[in-house]
Amino acid sequence: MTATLDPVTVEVLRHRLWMINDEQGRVAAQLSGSPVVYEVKDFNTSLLTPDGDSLFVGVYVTRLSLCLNFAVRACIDRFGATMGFAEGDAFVLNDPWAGAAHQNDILMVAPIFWGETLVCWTGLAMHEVDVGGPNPGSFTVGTPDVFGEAPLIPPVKMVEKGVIRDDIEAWIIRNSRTPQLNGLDLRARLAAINRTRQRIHEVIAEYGLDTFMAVQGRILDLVRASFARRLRGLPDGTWKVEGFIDHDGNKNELYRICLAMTKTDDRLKFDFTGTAKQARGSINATRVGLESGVVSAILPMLCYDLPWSPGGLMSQIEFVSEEGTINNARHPAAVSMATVSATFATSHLASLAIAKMLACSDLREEIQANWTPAWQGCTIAGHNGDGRPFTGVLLDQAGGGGGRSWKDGPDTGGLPGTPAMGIANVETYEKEFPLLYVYRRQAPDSGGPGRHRGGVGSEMMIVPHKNQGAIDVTVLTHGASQPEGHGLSGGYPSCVQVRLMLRGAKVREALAAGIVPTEAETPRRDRLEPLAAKQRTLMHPDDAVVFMTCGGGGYGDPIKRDPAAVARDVAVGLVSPAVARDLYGVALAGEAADADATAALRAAIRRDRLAEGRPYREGGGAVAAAAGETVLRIGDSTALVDTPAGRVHACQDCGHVLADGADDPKTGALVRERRLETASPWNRYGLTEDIVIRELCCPACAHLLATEVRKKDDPVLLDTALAPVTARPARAAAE
Amino acid sequence: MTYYIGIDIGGTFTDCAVLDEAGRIVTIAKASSTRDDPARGVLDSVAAAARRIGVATEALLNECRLFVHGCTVATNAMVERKGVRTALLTTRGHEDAIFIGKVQQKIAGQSEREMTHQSHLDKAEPIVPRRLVHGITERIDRDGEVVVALDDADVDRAIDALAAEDVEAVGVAFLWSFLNPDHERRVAARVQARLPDAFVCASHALVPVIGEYERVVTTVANAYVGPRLTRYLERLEGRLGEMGYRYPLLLAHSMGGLTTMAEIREKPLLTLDSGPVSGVLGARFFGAAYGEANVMCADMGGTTFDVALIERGRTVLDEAPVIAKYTYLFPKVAVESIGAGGGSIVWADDNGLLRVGPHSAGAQPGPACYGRGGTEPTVTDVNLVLGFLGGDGLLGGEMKLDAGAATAAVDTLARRLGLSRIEVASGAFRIVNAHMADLMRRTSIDRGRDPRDFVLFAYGGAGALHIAYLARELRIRRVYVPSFATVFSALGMLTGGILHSAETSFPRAFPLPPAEWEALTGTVASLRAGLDSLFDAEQVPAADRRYEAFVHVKFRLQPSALAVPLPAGLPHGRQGEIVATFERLYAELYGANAGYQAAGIEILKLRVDGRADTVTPTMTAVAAPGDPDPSPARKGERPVLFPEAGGFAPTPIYDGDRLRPGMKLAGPAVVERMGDTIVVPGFATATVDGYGNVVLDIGIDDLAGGHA
Repeated sequence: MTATLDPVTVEVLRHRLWMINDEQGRVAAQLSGSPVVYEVKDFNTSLLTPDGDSLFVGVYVTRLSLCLNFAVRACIDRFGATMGFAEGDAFVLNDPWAGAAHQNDILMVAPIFWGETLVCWTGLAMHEVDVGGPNPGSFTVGTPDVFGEAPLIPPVKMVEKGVIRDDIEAWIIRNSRTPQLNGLDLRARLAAINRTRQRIHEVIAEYGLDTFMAVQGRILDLVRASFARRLRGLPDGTWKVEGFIDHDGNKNELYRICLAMTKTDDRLKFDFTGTAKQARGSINATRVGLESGVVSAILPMLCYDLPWSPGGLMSQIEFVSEEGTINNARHPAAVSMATVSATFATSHLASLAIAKMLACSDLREEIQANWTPAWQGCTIAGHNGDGRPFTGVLLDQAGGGGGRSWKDGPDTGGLPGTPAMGIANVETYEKEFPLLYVYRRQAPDSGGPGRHRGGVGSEMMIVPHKNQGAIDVTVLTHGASQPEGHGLSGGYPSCVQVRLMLRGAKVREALAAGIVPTEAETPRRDRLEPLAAKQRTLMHPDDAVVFMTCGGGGYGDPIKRDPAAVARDVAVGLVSPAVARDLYGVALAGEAADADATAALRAAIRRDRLAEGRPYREGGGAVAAAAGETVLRIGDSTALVDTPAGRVHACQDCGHVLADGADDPKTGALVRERRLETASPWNRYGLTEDIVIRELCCPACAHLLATEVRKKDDPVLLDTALAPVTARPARAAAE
Repeated sequence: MTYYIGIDIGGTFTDCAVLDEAGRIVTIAKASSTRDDPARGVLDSVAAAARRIGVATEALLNECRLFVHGCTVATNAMVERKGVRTALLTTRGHEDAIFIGKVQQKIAGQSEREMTHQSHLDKAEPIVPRRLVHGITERIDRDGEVVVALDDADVDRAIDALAAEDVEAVGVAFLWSFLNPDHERRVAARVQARLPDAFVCASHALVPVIGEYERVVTTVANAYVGPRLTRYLERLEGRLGEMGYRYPLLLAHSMGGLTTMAEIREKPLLTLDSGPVSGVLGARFFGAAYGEANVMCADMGGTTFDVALIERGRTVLDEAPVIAKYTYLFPKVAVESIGAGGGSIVWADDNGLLRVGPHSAGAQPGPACYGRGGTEPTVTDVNLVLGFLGGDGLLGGEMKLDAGAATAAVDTLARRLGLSRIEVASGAFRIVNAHMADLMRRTSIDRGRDPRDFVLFAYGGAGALHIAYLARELRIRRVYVPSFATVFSALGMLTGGILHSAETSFPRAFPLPPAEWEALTGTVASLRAGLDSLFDAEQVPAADRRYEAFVHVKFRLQPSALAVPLPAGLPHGRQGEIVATFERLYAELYGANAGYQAAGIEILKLRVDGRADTVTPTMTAVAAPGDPDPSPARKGERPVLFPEAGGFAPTPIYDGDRLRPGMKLAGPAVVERMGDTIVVPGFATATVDGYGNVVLDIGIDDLAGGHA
């Protein structure tokens, strides 16, 4: 039979193959025994071409988007010419230099055959609670390199022609503290792969081998064309972002990640030049993490209406990165925390760069500030009351979504690039582990202030309950020293991530007396110990631990927010009266906003911005407002305007000319440095004095144009370099 | 004469089906649904039925032994957020659980396409305002032990606040209350005593199973929809009584059965989605009459295509269904859905590829051929261009279709794509069929079933037109298109019988020691006793009650379980049979090497279903099969393009009203009925059976390759 690839067949098969990949994910989630998989959805699935290009990835953790593609390539490179592949084979690995994001993610990939022909690959990456190593939960603090972490499994054949190799399976689960769980999850992967194999065979039986082989390339071509078209519709330019990973598992050092994203015609270049060298601690990511991190930002932000086919995107994306840096680490760098550190930070900064680009585009509804910048994870190990040991991971720290150009970010919306992710019920955790959740709530002041504020994150207090001895706790996140949920277009960043150990809090006694603590500061504790971003410690029976996971960044100047919305937020406890007053400039009268007092507060905030701000450029100051035609609006803040004297950046609010059109608009702004604590009460738990928040405002009207989170001595980040905008339609009246 | 009346309220029409004591269909009727006062539409449709029978409405109701009702009041209240002002009392420290919504609330029930659009993800619109959620000082732990004693003063303070807020309904849901309901009971009683007019719901009484978010949602949603639904039903019951109806009103519920007002007053949320579920019951009933135990139901309307399965004569339950982004815990007959219907828009994507749906033109503006201002071509327009639909239109000619408008809409798209009108129309027809077939395939294969082991039941206004092609895609040999396919839900609910169900958490690991086994049988007995008291209240004779118990079994650590029947009187020594059945079911679903015994096998919960047949309609042949020659029903011919034929060919058109049992139609042919159009392609033959249903036999053996 010859390939009959009419467009209708392509559409019919595209839909069917997407459903097959989706089904594979649903089967795996149903059968896994781990809440990390079935509720948190920390896994992903992919259908791949015979060459290992990813045809589809699932709607789960997109930071795993390219892992399976790297894994299949690794299998092909290592075994393709030697032992080869057969129907029914399946390979397992967790080696981050062969495709895994970190050791906890056990990948299973399998070739699918039709007769003698290798027709495609399929596979799943899934986070396991524990894969061994010195640290329960396998996120390892205190190691300089990978030899101090959980063992690496390079690609090995666990299933041979449909038969499970018991020796290999036993070896894979032998190092784990949770062998039964890992064993069950291996079977869940196999069940999913069985299903996919059967379904692919049905498709080929129906459409013929030639059609099936041809349609794979065609699906990728179509996505490539759509993606290229989307990119062509966006302005050319370079957008810069910088952020930090704090704490390497050994000491609280800030590691900088630099990204300059350049969009030219239908291509995107991600240049990480200037990024810190790889760390002597487990926060590094391999090249897998770098590329997956970037793609995980592209999929939800630029491919929101396209099939998620990473294989169709890669030809349009270029990476510039030096090997040996923190997100492109060489063996034997320690990498067990990659997913909460370098990979997440890479994804996060790529998201911010894309958001800045979208802010310069017509796609106004797609403009969204940063979501929560990272997991706030916690592994635990200890003994139940009856002496049985337990090991687990708590991943119920819900962050918030970023503020949008048209709406607030979703409160406790979760993590970016992870649409299907959820958190488990408190009862699920309490059933599995000897813990008591004293409270779990939405955390006030954890969303970045803005005209549209960032969604708030969450806060919880946990105490040991009916256990024996102390609980061995390892916490891990980044953004504990510095806010990493960046604001956009004058919106404020969200706050730092907070983990507090309340030593000797004796919450049990309080509960017995009928007092339920509902915030961190309530219990009478001996000592409040802010934990580092990565730290292993013991939780004793009278201790309590509090996690606060920050929300998303804000969008637009907070003093432009509707005062009634601020009053509502205060009434339901999402914003404190102090933040309402100091950042939003809203005075409350009862539960409503007081209009006159609010106007006065906001005028005072403007006066302070003007009085305390210093011009970025000497001699920068008031210039007459420019009359002319608006060529481009950049978010809420500035506009490119064609005046008789040439193209300039002007304040969107007052029309004041800030800079020449070829320059960064920040060069015409007033710059004011603010202490972290002024942005959110949570920032008092920030773990370094080194970080400041900078406001950049219009020198004429004090309209907030941008905020940035920087080290004290860092220069202002000139982040927007638009290529000369020619012949773009004016859209001054677009809103 | 004794009548049995089934009424189903839909979005557009309220359907009425009337059976006689032998279970024969006496008549069917429709009236426009009346959103402001649904009871009016109900009575209108009863009046319409009475007119068709030729009796007075009062006489019809007076001689009615069983009045069964399925309504959308609760569904609409949830979807449109039109429930009553509701408050929640919950464990202090956990007030935000319903707002956090396990984070996944933002994608619950959403399609992949909606899930991937990150900038547009949002939580559900709250059904309880945050200010009406009050934390109560109390706490119970995983062993059911009290960690914080219930603070009565705290309860009173909360009730004072609610009293000042004109709250109409109150949900009470505490952590771990399913293990120790004492606090919930005391608080619910206190609220009821102080707010006697409020509808008070406690989570342990509704869903005594693990999972506080879903338990809170079930409780709050139940409270939220209750007062409005109860008021409506009481009003309706009153009016029916005044008009002569002498028996209790029976309500269709989402588990696939009937119940009385007594239960619906407590669990109004049970009525969610009872319409689509009742359609599935109808298919089960007719399937049984035909001796078909495995039935796939395909219901295609204007905007969605719904698929449900009946396996070995049983419906399949969804243990955690979603309504308007809220996941709740009343099991519901599983109905899978995609956005594909007559109104689905045919469009070109940015690559110039032809696409269909999921967007729909809905009822307004509707397909271009409706002449209500729609300009984009839809599946209905395509069907008109291909000749499957005639210009005489729908509903027996009551609704004309504008073929010119359909053609113009398709042509505009064809020009943009550089394709011919026919290429676009037949391409769109193939694509929408493929999407529907994908859903049918997933629904069956998800359950470890081969679609070829099923027969198909097609109903809904648009289903019969596509069904032969769907059957061929899935290699299904036989399709039933019931007469009265358009009032299938109203008919179906008459076949449900009374069904009460009770479940409770029962976490234990196999093998159970004798004492635990005794606890299990004791728990099953007490669940059954609870159902007995419902039956007692309904005066259902003990002899008519049939019970079935289920043990929900899973591998240790897994979140969800499979329902394994518990044979009555199974002794402790034979509990291994339950494990064996579980492993067999698991392997059927997920493959032979998917199980992992080393993890351990355990029980999640226990459930008991109690059934009592009401009247059992018996399908009665309308007439003995007669002459196979269909020409008496032939009303003309028109050119129709069957995609596999490659071009238009004159095709006989038959009048559904004139079809008689025994008639045989060789495809290609088109049958136009009152509410739908049956397309019989060349690879199929249609037979009218003794019940007036059309049976399509699909020629599968002739299929080669399939998709050239």
